[in-house]
Amino acid sequence: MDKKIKNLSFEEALTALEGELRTLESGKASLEASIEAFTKGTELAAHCQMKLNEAEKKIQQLIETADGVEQVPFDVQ
Amino acid sequence: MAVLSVSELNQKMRAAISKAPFLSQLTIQGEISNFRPSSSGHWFFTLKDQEKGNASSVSCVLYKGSQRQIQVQPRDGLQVELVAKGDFYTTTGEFKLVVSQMKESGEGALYAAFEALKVKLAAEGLFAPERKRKLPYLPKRIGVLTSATGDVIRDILNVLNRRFPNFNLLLIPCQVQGEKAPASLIRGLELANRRADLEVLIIARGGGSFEDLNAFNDEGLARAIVASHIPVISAVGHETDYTICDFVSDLRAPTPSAAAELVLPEYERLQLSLSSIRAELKRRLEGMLRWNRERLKHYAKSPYFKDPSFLLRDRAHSLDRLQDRLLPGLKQVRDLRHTHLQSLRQTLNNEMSQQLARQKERQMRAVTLLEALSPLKVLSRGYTMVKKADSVVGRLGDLKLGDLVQLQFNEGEASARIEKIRSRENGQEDQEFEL
Repeated sequence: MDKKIKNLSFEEALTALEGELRTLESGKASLEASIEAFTKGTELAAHCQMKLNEAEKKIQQLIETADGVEQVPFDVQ
Repeated sequence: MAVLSVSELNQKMRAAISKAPFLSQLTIQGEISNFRPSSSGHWFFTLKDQEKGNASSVSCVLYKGSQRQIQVQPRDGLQVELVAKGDFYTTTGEFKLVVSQMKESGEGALYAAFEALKVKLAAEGLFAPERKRKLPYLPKRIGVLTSATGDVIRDILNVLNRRFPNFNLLLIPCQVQGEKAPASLIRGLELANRRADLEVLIIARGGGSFEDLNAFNDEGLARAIVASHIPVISAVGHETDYTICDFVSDLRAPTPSAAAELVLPEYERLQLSLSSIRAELKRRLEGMLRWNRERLKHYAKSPYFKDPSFLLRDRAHSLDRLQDRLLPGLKQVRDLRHTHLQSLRQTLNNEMSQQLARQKERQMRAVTLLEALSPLKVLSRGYTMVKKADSVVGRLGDLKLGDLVQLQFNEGEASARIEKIRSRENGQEDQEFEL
């Protein structure tokens, strides 16, 4: 289960997380099911947070030279 | 100075005009007005334009013979480009352009080409909604095809900064206007698609006239967008501008800034969502636990759990009550049976007694009778039993003279020999036998 969460995209994980929350909100789940929903939900939330945080700020520009294509930092003029 | 006549002037004018090289064939652009086909079949109209606030116009004629070559249908208001030669009519002193070629120019021509291409590509299904790909929710890297200078890239960067500060963007500088623009954009798409890290592309260009944006109506560009395996957002011109690029891309943004808003979600909002979902998860679970705890407490309070004997007591009472009802019941049954048994016994006893009594009576009678008939009783009355060789002699005829007989008396026996026999049967004295 842990592996599966790791492979989810941010959006997939967020959707799954909302699903677990709905289970808890329904009030119809047994105590065991509620605890499971909570545990899974927490894992998914942590995964989402990680995805949010791992975004790295980078602004670059492509330059085509005779030798090929280069990537250089870009500054707005 | 010589005084000219009108016809002389007009002739000179004509000569001068026919000598001017630039008037022998020129290309001119303007708007048709006062278009009127004449009865002769020739078309007459005025070509006019507005430049720097000054209106100018020139008379034109398109002779019937030349009309076959013309594809355009002339009408007032149409922008056209003409190939013509200048001519001067001596009779009327009029300068006219004699038109040999005509085609739609400016916006008109461009627009026609645009419409034609739109129809063609639509027929190929390139604009179909099913073709459009879903954009990644949180693209790891965004590719932008636009000019490296100018407002567009700056606006995009500003919006992204505001929305999701840690964004990753690669700018692929392209020309966005002029003849070279389509090729430049196609090249940019090629470079982008060679890479593995770009998850979405934005083709962006600021506002402009229809002609300014015409590079984005290029067929080659449209096909390059279709061929791109990376989804493409088209953000060309202002909200009201629509180009082929817009139709064929996976998503159209009304402006470059709008594209920036579509390509990344708001970090703040996401963070808040996550936090609130987390808090809600916790709250719900805690609520559940609390509720279950209360239930448990409530049940534990029940007298049945606190004092188990409570349960027993209840049961004991029930049992007692039942017992109370049971014993008398049993007793009653027992008594009944007892009585019944007694009566049966009684009856049996009575019967038995009666039976016995009857038997006894019979027996008594039998005994009495037997006694009465007993030879011993007879003996006790003084009679004697005669026996011969241990068997009783009952008839006189059984005796013979000289027989040795036993005489049994009540008190004992004696033996005797028969000396005389006298039978009464015939009433006569039979042979008296004597020894």
